Amino acid sequence: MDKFLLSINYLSRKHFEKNAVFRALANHVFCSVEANSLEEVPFVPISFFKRYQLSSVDPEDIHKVMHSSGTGGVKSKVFIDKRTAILQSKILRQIGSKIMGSGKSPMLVFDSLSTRVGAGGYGARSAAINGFRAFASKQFFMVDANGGIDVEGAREFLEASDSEDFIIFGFTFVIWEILEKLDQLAVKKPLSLASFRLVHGGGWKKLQHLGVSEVEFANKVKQWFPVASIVNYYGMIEQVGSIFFECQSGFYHESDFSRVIIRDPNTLTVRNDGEIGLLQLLSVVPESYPGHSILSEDLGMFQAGICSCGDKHKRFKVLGRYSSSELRGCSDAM
Amino acid sequence: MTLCNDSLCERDLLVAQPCQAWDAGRLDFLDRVSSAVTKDKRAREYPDLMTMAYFCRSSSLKRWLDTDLRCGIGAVFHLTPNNVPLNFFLSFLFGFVSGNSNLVKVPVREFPQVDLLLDILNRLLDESVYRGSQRFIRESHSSIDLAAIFQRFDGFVVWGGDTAVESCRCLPRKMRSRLIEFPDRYSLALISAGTVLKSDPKTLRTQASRFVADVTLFDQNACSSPKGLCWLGAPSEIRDAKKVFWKAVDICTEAKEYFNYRSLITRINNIVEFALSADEAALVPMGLNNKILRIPGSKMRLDKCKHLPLSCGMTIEFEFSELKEFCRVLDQDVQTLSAWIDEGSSGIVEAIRVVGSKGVDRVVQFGETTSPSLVWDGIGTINALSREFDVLRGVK
Repeated sequence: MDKFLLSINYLSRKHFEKNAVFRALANHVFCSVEANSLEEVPFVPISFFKRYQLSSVDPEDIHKVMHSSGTGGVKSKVFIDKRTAILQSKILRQIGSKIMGSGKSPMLVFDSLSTRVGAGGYGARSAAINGFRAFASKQFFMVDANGGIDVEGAREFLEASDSEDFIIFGFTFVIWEILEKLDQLAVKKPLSLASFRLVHGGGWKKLQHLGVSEVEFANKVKQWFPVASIVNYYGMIEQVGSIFFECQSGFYHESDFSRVIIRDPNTLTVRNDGEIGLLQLLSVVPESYPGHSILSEDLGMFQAGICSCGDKHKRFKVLGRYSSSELRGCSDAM
Repeated sequence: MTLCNDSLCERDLLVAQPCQAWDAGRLDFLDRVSSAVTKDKRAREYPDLMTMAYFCRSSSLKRWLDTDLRCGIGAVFHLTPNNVPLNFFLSFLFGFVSGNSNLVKVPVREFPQVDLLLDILNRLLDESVYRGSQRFIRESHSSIDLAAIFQRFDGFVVWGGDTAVESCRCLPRKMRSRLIEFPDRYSLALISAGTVLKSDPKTLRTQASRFVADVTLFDQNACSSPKGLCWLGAPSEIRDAKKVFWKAVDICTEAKEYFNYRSLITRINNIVEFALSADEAALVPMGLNNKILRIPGSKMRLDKCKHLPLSCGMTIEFEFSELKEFCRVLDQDVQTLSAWIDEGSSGIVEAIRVVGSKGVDRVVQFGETTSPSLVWDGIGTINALSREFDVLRGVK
């Protein structure tokens, strides 16, 4: 049996033993906890993270509780123990170093320090800033304690560093909002003439609502910083340790630690290469909660063939959030 | 807060005089609505719209006509569900045929068949004498001043669930106003093992597909959707009949996709909820598929159906030796009984009457659970929204 599948089955058995919701899924929906193939692995629908307390450890072993940044009211909760937290950092470093390099660079973070420390709760942005700290020799936060943009502070940070290679990091929509504010402040462009690598993630949904394309986003960043490369990453707070970096050919790739399955939204059957469906993500990291196999509500598809970037792992595209119809019924006049 | 965007509409609605129930002009108007819908090619994509178009014809509605000594009560407000596209039109029919002016809350959600029907209704109303006295509003319930409406209107039709009903009960209203409520109900299917075993293959296929339609329409969330399947017969007969019937049902579900993503995830969630609620022993491992999920109910009370998470193709199976035994356990929350038994509807109604059961307001065949009617939840809606004249002999 494939080593990855062996690890996934180990996690399935563990969560089956420790978590009642996963046990119910395995027993009654998937009819088995052990899988002979990745397609047979029981999955947890992502909405379950808002509905249930999905933990497989005792309360005293919980190191951190992360939550999603959902605007709908109810947020996902993710229970991390120390071991899962350590694994997550190790794997991020290993996967990220292929894109970010093995060294560290000064990092301009398009967010605030309070986000990093989780002042408003430990969400996806906090997790991302902390996770990517592994690639930073030092971090500077563009947003100050009062919520303003610290332009002078950023200039000083950049000038004081003797590095010629900087990283800009942040959530996509936050970067856009800050650059819009810089435009309004009529700050002189560009902010620096040094070389920058832009790493961003968090999805395009908010920018799509604003009618901003990926090209417009990239152009705006380049007005302010001479950006040598732009890397988009994909991941979700519900599956720590699963992170996918967009390659230079515009694809995401599976890794030794994460796999992807594409499922038809209306039947949940597995789709073939080239067919669009929901992304199911599998990861060997989540030990403290049943998040090793999650059916997301993001659409994507595999593309067959060897990628020109050289990465031999299967490649896929992420195409945006699936918009499903609401449940039908008649008892909702109020 | 105005009731709707046009303040004139409030005045027209509230001052409009009620007329005779079953007024010929109103029935003629509904015939024109029916004709306009059935002639519109776009309507054919929506079976529920075509069903309503046939239902609202005067020849169809007159089945419920009992007396013409009735008159409307005034202005009626209808609070209708968001998730059932054309429920608003059924509610409107209750108020319109009974001779009232009507303000109807329409689903806020986008439904093409709602848009289509509203276009036709508003166009025909604008060309008619009913302009201004019959209005449809598309606003969320939170933006409607219900307290003001309840103070000024003469009648209210409040659709479920229990939350909506309880909220409206608290609102002060006119002493002689009428309130029709449709709180949460549940429904059952009744099937005779003997009838199944002696049926020919074509009848079996037809009944199986009708049953599947009943447990999948509206994701089985309608109050008329059967949550339980009740078998009548001797144990060995029932055992044999189940094999035959469910084989036919499985053939239906394999042939077609009945669910979408949201309903499949809800079904998975229902199964987990069921397992976590200590009824786990009753659950049979299901698999990730389209089939109707069967749950043995031998150790459960029938009224458990109301409280258990049963939707998107799940049903609890019960067994009874004979019809009266079944009727004895029907509680007043049972709304619709869809049946495939030799005794037929009249036999069922007779058994319910003899036993004195409080449950069941509708008895229909398999496949007819969502058929519209002017009698709903045991309430004659035309009578409830009109007043009857009691004319004494000797008054000339």
